[in-house]
Amino acid sequence: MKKSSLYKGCLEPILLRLLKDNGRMYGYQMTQLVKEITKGELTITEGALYPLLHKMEEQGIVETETEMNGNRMRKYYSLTKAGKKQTAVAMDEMKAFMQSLEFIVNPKTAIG
Amino acid sequence: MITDAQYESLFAFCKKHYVHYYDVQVELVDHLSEAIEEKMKENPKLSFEEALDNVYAGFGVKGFADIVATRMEMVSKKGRQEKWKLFFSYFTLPKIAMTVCLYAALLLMGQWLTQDYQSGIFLSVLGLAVFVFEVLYMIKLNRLFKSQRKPMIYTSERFSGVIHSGFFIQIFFSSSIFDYAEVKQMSFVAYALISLFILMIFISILAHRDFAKELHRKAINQYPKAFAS
Repeated sequence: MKKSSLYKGCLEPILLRLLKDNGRMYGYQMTQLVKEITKGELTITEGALYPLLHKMEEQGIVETETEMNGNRMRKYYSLTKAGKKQTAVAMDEMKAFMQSLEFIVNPKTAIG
Repeated sequence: MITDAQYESLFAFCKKHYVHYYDVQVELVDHLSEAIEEKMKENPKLSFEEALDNVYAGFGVKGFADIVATRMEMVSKKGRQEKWKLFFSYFTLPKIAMTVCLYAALLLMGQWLTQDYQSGIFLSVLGLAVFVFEVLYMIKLNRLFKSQRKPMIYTSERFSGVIHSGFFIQIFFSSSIFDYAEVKQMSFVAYALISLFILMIFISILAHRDFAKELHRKAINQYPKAFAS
């Protein structure tokens, strides 16, 4: 099984966490930070990242602002008020999910 | 560091790969330029073109297609939600006061128009006036966005209204609510329903105007280079 398929469904909580910890971020920065934190184990593909960010923007979870840097323009994402609430919920769900996985992967630990 | 000319060439690269919208191009060009610079830093022998090919391959077989499609879908969905929210704002405080006053005035007018054909003629004139208002408003809206030099998905929702009045009129006049035989002496219920319907169209135009104004303000703020200064 490809590692990326294991991460599917976890991308949104990952992005929420990144935005919570770093305030505002731009797309490329998110991909690089995830790579750095996971020591290259997890790579977010551009084809998955941007559609999800646009979806989160539509849902009112994130808001955007653009900034000029010389001649270059950059689009930043940050959490909205609703996004901050959503992050707390997503983190709780993530923890519960990881615990459930632990029960399956390591039943002895779970029973003990 | 890539040069300004190379940076600008990335916009042409996006266009070549069917990304014609400036708001999507801005994000992709920023991503591509950052990734290219990173690749060239890791391997100084790599040319700009080679690094670009390398980075573009990372977008997968579909390239930018999914990004554009999702952006279109999401902008349209958000636009529809905002327009309906603005439409319904005319039925909550404080704007409901204006809606109620307008409808009350129309009903009072209906009570006053008792002669043959008077109600029918009044409603036809009213309907025509709303139509003319809509046409004039669309001309004004086009002027508002005249300074937009580059196409954007972000502003594409300005074209569609809350209620498609033509479609609504067609349904209405082919339904049993509008009885042509009644035009001479129109019943008050029929008058009330038709005037309510015209009022709804008028409110949908107002809601669309509110939406377009706000969209224009946000678009200039977010993408100033897409507009002529």
